[in-house]
Parts: sequence; structure tokens; C-alpha cells
Amino acid sequence: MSGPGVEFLLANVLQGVADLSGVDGAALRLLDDSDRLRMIGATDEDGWVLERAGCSALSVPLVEGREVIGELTLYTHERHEWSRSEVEKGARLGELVVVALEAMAGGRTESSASGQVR
Amino acid sequence: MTHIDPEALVASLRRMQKAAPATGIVYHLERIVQVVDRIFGYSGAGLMFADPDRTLRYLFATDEAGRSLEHAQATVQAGPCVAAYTTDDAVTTYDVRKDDRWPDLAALLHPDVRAVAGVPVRLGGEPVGTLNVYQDTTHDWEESDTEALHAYAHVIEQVIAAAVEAEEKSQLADQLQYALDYRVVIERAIGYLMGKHDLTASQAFTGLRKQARDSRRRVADLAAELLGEQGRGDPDHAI
Repeated sequence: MSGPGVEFLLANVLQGVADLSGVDGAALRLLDDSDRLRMIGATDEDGWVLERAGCSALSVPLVEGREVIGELTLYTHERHEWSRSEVEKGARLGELVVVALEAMAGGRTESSASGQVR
Repeated sequence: MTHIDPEALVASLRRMQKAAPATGIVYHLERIVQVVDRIFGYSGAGLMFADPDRTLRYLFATDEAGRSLEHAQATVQAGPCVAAYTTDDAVTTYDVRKDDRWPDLAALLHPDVRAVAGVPVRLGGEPVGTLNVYQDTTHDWEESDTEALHAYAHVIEQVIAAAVEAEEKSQLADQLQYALDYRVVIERAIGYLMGKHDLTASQAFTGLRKQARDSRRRVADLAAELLGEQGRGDPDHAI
């Protein structure tokens, strides 16, 4: 199910999401099979320590069916005011990440995401 | 440099595998194209995929006009998306209805299809299909437009590759072949609905897709049911 290939593909997806949103980086947290929210990956080191790094961040919930499975965080290294269109685009990109995760997990159902600024 | 925690990823994917039934690669691709369509805000988007004999075929479009664009190109095997596939590069047109490169297309297109852009979708470095968008007005495509399309195509490539990782390649190929083959049944069901309920093709297409989605069935199975045929194919394969 998950070999080095899947990690590589997810890294590509995260980098692609960061590029498409025009921000400095993207980070992914997911619930594990014990319902713990865990850091999965980030496009650079700042993504792992967002609170300490002083980044501006936009986090969107990742929703599969009706269940929140994690969050996608887009961030900038400098202070940034997130516009409504950026929040909406972040939500859509979150949907893309859910589809990619479902494909990696072996197929699942619907997803949706809505933006939240923090 | 992107870093992924493999142990955490495995634990999360394991959690995702517990709940709902498997859907399939075509379902994933459709959803991605719908998301891409909403992000871009163009008139429509679609995906064409190549047969094993490298003939480009209609796989999915977000609306009736987009469907006509893909259907027309599959019929004459020419057009911006076919060119994007064969040249393995982005191809755009200001107005496909008046483009001298594809004189046979205009007669087959929905009147709303004007400006078109297509980029290749690759697997293992080789083109396997195209991501297409269209506008209902003429449009000068800029390099930033095609760059963004390439970027989304790249995400699609990761999803296809992930599906390959997750499933047997032969099963994946079967799902795609099923989707390509059963478009005929879907087309007939749309015609049936148009006649029975006095709908436009667009209304029939949208209604069929919605009903299938709401009942979590494959569009092809619902289409076959409407036509009085038995649902065909393996229920694990989704459109």
C-alpha cells in the first residue's frame, strides 16, 4: 500500500499544491488509525515548526465524506493577509490532496474542504 | 526539500482504508477535473485518455459543451487536445471554431466551445492523455495559463501513479478501458432522457451524473438501467 513510491508521490503533490497556491510552502497533518493528528510532511523545514517560525498560515480541513481526516496548511515565511480568493483556492487544493490520499489508500469516497484562516 | 514521515503516512492511510468501499481511478480523475474546473473558473474542463493503440478517447467532461469538444476530437482524431497528446506539449487555440488547423471540428462542436487549451498528462514520462479546458468566448491564452494547467496535470499524474502503486496495473487498465467503452451507453441514456423528459443534452447529462453520484452508483450502470439493460461489468469498477 505505502512504499517509497507513495512518499515520493505525496511529496510531489504537496510541492505542487504549494506552487499552485503561490505560497512558500505546504504542510500536511492527518489523523492516524488511533485518531491522533500527526504531522505527515512539509515542503520545507518551516512547515514542521509553523508556530515557532512566525509564518503566516492558512489551514483548511481535509474532509472525506463527512469526516475530517486532517488539515492542509499553506504558509508564507513573511507576514501575509489571506484574501478570500486565496482561502477558497486553498480549500479546493485541499480537495485535490484528499483525492490523492484516497488514491494512495486504495480508493474511497467523496471529499470537501472549506478554508479557515489562522 | 519536501520531507514525508513514512510511518505517520502509513498509519493515516491505514485509517482511511477502514471505512468506505473502494471507488476507482476514474472516479478520482473525475473529481480532480471538477476541482480544477472550479479553481480556474473557465467554462469547462475535461480529460481524454489514450487507448492501448494510442487513440485518444473521451473520458470525462464537466459539462455538455466540454463533452462535445472531446467527442468531436475523438471522432475526427484531430484538434487541440489530440495535438497536445501527439506533440506531448501544451496546445492552445484562440477560437477552435475558426482555427485552420482543424477545419472539420467546428461542425461537431457545441456553440459554446470557443477558446481551448490542452496539456498532456504523462505516466512514466510518456503522454497517456490530456487535461483540457475551454472558454465560451475567444481567449488569448497566456504562458501563465498553460503553466498552471501543466501543474494541475502534474498533480493528476501523481494520482494516477498513486493508483498504480495501490492497485494491480491490469485492474487499473481495466477500469480505464471500462470507462472508455461505456461512454456509448451513457450517450444513449442521455438521448433517451432528452426524448422522454424534453431536456437539453446538458440537463440530461447533469441529471444523470447527479443521480449516479447521489446513489453512489456508476454512471454507466445507471445509464444501462435506464435503457432497460442489466448493469454490466465488475461492481468494483467505478465511473
